[in-house]
Amino acid sequence: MRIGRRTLLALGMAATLAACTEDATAPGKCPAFCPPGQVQVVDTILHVISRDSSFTGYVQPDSAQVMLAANAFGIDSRPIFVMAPVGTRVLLNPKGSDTTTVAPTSIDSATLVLVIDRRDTLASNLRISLYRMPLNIDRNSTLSGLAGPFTDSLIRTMNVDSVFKLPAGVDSTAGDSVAAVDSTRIPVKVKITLDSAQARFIAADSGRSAFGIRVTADSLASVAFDSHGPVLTWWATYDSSGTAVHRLMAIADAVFSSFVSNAASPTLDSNLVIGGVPSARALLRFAIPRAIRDSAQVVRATLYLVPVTAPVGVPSDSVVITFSRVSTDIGAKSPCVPSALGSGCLPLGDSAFVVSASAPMGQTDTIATDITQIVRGWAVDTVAPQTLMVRQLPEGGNLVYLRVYSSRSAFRPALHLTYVPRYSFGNP
Amino acid sequence: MRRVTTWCVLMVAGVNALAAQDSQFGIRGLGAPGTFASVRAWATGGAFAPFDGMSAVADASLTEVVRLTAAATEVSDYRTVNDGTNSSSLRSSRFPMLQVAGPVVGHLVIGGGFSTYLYRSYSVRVPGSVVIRGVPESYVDELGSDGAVTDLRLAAAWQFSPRLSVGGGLHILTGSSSLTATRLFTDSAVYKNASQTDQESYDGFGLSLSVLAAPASGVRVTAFLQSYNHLRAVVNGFQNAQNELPTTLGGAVQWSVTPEVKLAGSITHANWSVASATGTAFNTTNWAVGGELGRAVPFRIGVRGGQMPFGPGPSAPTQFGISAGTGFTFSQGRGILDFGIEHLRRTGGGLTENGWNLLAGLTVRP
Repeated sequence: MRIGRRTLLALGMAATLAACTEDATAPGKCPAFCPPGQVQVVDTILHVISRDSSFTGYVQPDSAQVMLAANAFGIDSRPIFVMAPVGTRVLLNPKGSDTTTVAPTSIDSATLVLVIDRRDTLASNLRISLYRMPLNIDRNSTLSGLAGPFTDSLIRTMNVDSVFKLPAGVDSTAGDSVAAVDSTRIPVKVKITLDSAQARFIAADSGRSAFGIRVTADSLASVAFDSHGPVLTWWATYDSSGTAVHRLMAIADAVFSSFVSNAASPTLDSNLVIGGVPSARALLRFAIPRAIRDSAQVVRATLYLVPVTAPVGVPSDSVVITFSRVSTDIGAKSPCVPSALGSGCLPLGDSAFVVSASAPMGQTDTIATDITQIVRGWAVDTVAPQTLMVRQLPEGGNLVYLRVYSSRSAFRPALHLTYVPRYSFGNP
Repeated sequence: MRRVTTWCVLMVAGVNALAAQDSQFGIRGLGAPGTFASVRAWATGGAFAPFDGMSAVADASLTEVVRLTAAATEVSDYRTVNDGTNSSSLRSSRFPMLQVAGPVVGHLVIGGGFSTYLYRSYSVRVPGSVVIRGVPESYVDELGSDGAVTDLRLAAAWQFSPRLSVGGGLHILTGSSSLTATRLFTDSAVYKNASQTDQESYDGFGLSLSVLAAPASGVRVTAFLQSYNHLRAVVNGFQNAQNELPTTLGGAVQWSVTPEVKLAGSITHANWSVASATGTAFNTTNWAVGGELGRAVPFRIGVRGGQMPFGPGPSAPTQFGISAGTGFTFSQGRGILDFGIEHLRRTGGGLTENGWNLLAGLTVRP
């Protein structure tokens, strides 16, 4: 009997512990066996954007991430850059104990490396013409002011497409090469070899040199060079105990990079302007009804912007604009929500803070942008300004700008909201 | 005194430990009513509950408690719900009752504790489709409640003579439910999910009276009454609803055939129809018959039947259960472990519930 009790106790406790699980979800047979309330969905278009405005003069050509080269659709844009001065003396035997530097007996050649960030793959016979520029070019230089050097100072021309199609992208005769940067084969690294006459090392200037670039193609000649990309490598001949040796002399980076063009700067009017050079930005201020923002849950929010005119340019130059939340609304100088890791704004990737949209060339279609996570973020942080900073991506990196209707026009911006109103749990 | 304090702490903590799902028939109404029976009484179909001092049916039965006693109940249920189209298996565990009682002075016994008055735990998934922006979008709504209405009871009973006892009690209804409503869109890349959670709390007040008599040798009868004013539901500080609550009348008889054979039967009636003005609540009559054989390791068996107060049809859903159980003492009689099992079937409005309740109870007499 004693064993029986213990066995019974063990079985009972085991059964009790095994029973401590829960699965309470069953298919609902409504309305008979469901709670009385129903989850509703409301879909509405609201013109809740007000006090929107544009500001211009932000990113100048010399501050842009890219140097724009274009020769299409009546736009002529030409990169200009100045390479840093370099020293000429080198250690002929850097691995040994000899620390004596030697001056070159002659400058042999130089290679200029350029990185193309953006180009239209449909452009054929894309050619780069390299010009020598005066050393005093700066941010105030203009296309007309540099007409002379761009006319009589051609150094050489390289056909990028032709070289890119060669095996390994190398022109062994001229010493040029074109290599893809990534698998998309759109960004490419271009190496142009210059002989001593073309490179023209002037010792009085410590090799400081300035260049300008024109691009031509059968069509769609529009290229964006990386502003930080130009690298000039000097090669020279040295006397090594009576023997002439060929050595790398120095590597120079660009100390100034910009571009000059005949493109008109974006002008402000009653509508909103985004992009161009110098770049323009727009501020969109939302006034979402508190009944929606605080009590409902937004499941989808789409922002509609209507272009005033279609942007004109090569397809690869489509206007990409970003919508960034600002951390505080102080007008034109409103800072965007900063990146925790860097000094700039949050990059694309976190759709709760920044999203992007594209305006294709030649089309005036309404630009629809999903800002669901941003609007939901405003519901969570009710003291955050309901303001979006609209900028071009990359800012200052496109001569084409976008002009969209403002809240003061008939085709004003609209917010298409789909939301779930507060659920009424009903009587118990 | 320290032990009493410990049990009081456990009792209060237990109020927050309530978590259960009892019946789909409580979703549309106020909930599924509790049984107010200890495991020992539950195993007899509830027929012994009006005579059990550790059950919360009739206060007069507190006179059965001859020393400080505390009892706790744990129930696990496994149910299959079939609505004619879908069938699903559900399971849950709960601690529906904890009672403490003991004689104070003379023939006065005071007791109290908590028991689940209404189970309000459920979760349903409702698929559907809605046209948004001109495109049909599929979704699944999940509507749920996790909680209960709890009856905190303070009762006293006086035994006027070995043949007559009278009891009364004060009841405070309290408790809360965590309510959730979630819409999950199938195309979650386009439409984000919406989820809402609220806390609903309840309050109400009630009284109970009962009398227990022994008109003949081995025979005891009891009559009892429980009446509550209303149940008020508050969400986010605002009154969400107020529903009248029923008055329950009941009676029971117990016959000790021999010291080792006891039989009992009970019947209760509650006017639950006052709880709803829309006709979805019904008056209920429930009955139970059961017996207990043996003393050291007793064998208990019982059946119960009757109605559920809430349902969608023109009449009240019905329920029928068969139960059995046993129990044994340990530590020189200071502790009692009771176990039971019940098969319960509920039908109404095209829906059928079939399930098993596994019961475990611990009684301590320090």
